Amino acid sequence: MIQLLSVFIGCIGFGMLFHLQSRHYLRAALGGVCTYLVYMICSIYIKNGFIPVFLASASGALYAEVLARIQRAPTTLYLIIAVISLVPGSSLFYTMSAFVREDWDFVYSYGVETTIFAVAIALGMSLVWAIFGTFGKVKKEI
Amino acid sequence: MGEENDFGQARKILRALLDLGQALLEYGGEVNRVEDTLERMGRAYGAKGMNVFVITTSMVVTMLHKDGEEITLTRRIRKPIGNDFTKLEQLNALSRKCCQEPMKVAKLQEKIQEIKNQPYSFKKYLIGAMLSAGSFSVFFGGSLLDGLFSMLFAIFICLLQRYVQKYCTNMAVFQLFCSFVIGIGISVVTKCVPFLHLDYIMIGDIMLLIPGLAMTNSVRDILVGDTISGFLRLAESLLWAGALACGFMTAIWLSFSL
Repeated sequence: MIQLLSVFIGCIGFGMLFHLQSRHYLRAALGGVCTYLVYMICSIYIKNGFIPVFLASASGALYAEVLARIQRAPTTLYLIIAVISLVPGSSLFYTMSAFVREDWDFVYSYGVETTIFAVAIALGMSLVWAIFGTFGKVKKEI
Repeated sequence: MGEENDFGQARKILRALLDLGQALLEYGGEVNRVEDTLERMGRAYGAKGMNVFVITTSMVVTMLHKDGEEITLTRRIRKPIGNDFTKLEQLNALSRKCCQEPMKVAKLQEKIQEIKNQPYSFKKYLIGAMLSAGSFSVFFGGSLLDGLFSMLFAIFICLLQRYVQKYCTNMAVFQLFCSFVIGIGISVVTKCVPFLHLDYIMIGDIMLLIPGLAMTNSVRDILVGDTISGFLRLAESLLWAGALACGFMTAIWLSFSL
């Protein structure tokens, strides 16, 4: 609960940081909360480092893409804020601190975690874009 | 006479379009969006063909005007990527409107300038930075006190970005410097105040400095097919992230060994 609340506030914070228009704050931050919820729920059921992040990122991108179509605004606006809660800030930090302590096992495991998060976020978003892009092309043909 | 007039007109149009494209890039738009927008706008203004090539640091546009005249203009972009979603959105709306019914070129120029000249609210940026740093340090498991200190350092980061960044030769140097200073600051504070957790405070502030926008845009560009510009920006943002990591690592190393 605390985590959801802090994600919400953090997302609004990032909205302000990026100078989002204030009428978008709530929508964008809700995207962030939803993305994180998906991640939390998935990580309970799927014991895997990759899949939950992938699904969460895909759902965040989907949310952003749909909302952007409705609002006729650039997708980036919502996308960045939706996936910001997945950014592996903590594992990046632990990788660095383990590196300094020369604790190579930890460097390895946290480093891998950071990379997996980053790759999963990227792949999740790309899946959604690929689908939307194809649909757009098909629609044009018809 | 008429022909010459038309030729001047085409040049004016193209110049306005380049202004628009540059502004879109500088406020955080993806390369693909810029190319797409320029292409559509050109056609809306009566170009028979548009050849648009945009990468993160330069734009080349050749326009085939309806009278058969072909002109090319290029633009070098030196400003590092910024982010101002309000302006990005307004420019986007402007270009959409223009594609439906093109307005006079002079008016378009005026509108672009108007959007560009809007005041940039530093206060809003500051509050945003504090909120996000604070809440993310709580999010990753810190106490409220950790969040509070993370907020304090977020203010410090904003001040550095506002007053020091322009003296740094590039973004990587600035990231290195900024993360080192902030890292040292956090280590000192956590040594003095026993209830604080170094890790959570730092994580909150790392979240602020990670070039998330650049990375997402670059991945997006790569996937859409703009491989060159995507990889350019990806390399750039990885470099920034590396600089960030080095800065914090040096700070942590110093604090451990002292």
